[in-house]
Amino acid sequence: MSGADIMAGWRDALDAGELRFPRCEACGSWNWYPLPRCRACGSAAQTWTAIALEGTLYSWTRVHHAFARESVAELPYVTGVVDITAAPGVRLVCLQRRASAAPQIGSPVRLALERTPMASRWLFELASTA
Amino acid sequence: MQRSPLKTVVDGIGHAGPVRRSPKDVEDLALEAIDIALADAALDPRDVQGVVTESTLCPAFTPLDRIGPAARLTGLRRTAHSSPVGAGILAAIGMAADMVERGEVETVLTWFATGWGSAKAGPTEYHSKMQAKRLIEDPVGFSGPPLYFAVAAKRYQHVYGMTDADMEAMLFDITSAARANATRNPGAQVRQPLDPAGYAASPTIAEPLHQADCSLLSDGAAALVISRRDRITRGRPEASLRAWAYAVDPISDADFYTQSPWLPNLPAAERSTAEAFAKAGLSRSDIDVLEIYDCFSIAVAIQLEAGGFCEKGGTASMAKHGGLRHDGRLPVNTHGGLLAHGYLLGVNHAVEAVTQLRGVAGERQVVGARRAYVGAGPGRQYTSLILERVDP
Repeated sequence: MSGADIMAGWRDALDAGELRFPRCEACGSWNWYPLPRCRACGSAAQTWTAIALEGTLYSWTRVHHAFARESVAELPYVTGVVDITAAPGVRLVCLQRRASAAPQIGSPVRLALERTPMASRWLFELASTA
Repeated sequence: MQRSPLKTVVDGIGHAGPVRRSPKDVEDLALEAIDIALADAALDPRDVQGVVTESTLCPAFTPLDRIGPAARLTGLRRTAHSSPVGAGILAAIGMAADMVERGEVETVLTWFATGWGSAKAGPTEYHSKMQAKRLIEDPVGFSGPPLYFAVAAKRYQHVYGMTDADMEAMLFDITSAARANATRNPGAQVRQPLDPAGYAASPTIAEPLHQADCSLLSDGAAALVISRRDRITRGRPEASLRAWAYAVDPISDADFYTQSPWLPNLPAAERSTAEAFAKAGLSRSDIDVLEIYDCFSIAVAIQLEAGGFCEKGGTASMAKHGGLRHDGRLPVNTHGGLLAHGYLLGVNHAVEAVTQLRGVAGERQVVGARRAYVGAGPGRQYTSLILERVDP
């Protein structure tokens, strides 16, 4: 995977409404965040591959003070790190959907795409309440 | 392999600040610290033969091509950069000592200066320059170093089966020890002690971290001179670099805090610490005082455990009842650290270790301190220094 914009595939995936990560064509490893070569085998052949919107909550925090230049959500908000089930080793940071159940590390979660005027982004909620 | 018998000493130290906001430019702060360090080493600027500094922020804010002539460093024969930020600041000291031990030079100067106390751009800006963070993390509100360590703290709590109250007690014990130490340091930026009510009242930034769990922001600088011991003629105790080690894991800075398969373990810190102790021929119990990169209170816990100073998950019990205070079981960050002395990215930790080993740390002196450990870089990379007092 190369070229001036290694993240173009991420934007394409958001436009298509799919969750895609770069997968090595040579050895099948997932590579996240994107790098020009596969971390496992060194191959440059990587394809943005769509997968199921399922994961497990690795960790989370409730944010009371925003550091981002633009506000992304009303404070406080919960943002989490999700292990993606179908892509071992890949974690995605997601915002928790409002008014969903209290986050629990290790709980199964489902992801959903939200399109805002600023950006498209992935939300998570506990699978039991989805 | 053990180093040759303590041939290299850190015989010059100097501080400018830290303060929250200085009227002085960051170059002025660096030059002020350099002047003090050279005077402390009784070294004429033209007799400085080498310069080694951190590799990213130092060349950007206090580049050698400007600092060199302004500090009248007219005799340089070697210059080098180490690695980025905290681990790089300590690695510069180690590389300087190696240069001296190899006989390439007799005296090396290093410094680190920051204007992040008064600059608009600070650590958050540094991290947001990474493309993945801007495109993927910012839109979901995952921005700023406190969040990286907040999720690390939540994960730590989960892994070691702690309740919210257990975590809060551990973080309070770590933070209040730094603050207690700083009350005894006239150079510290924050000198008010922290009690449980004050901790509870400190605004929550990102759970479980309060503002009191987060590094200060500072303007300031520190400089150190590393010299061949046999050129020292004064009769005072000196701090020798007994051993040092650097380790790095194959994971990018942008990946580390979300993708690390290891957290709350820090493999680079484990390897670096183990290698430094093996080279020194010493064990953890030989260390009298520790200076640990405390960008956040939780970072102290994961580093003490990675370094083998506490068992895994054991920091909470070690930190209880003032265990990390200058007069505690395991004296940590006797100057107050980044949490209370100032955010000089760990160069202040190295200066404090030298101060303690010289026995001139005043009210915060660890009685009889002969060996100090300094560690920095809680992420993909880590540097460990082991310093030892040499008597005149």
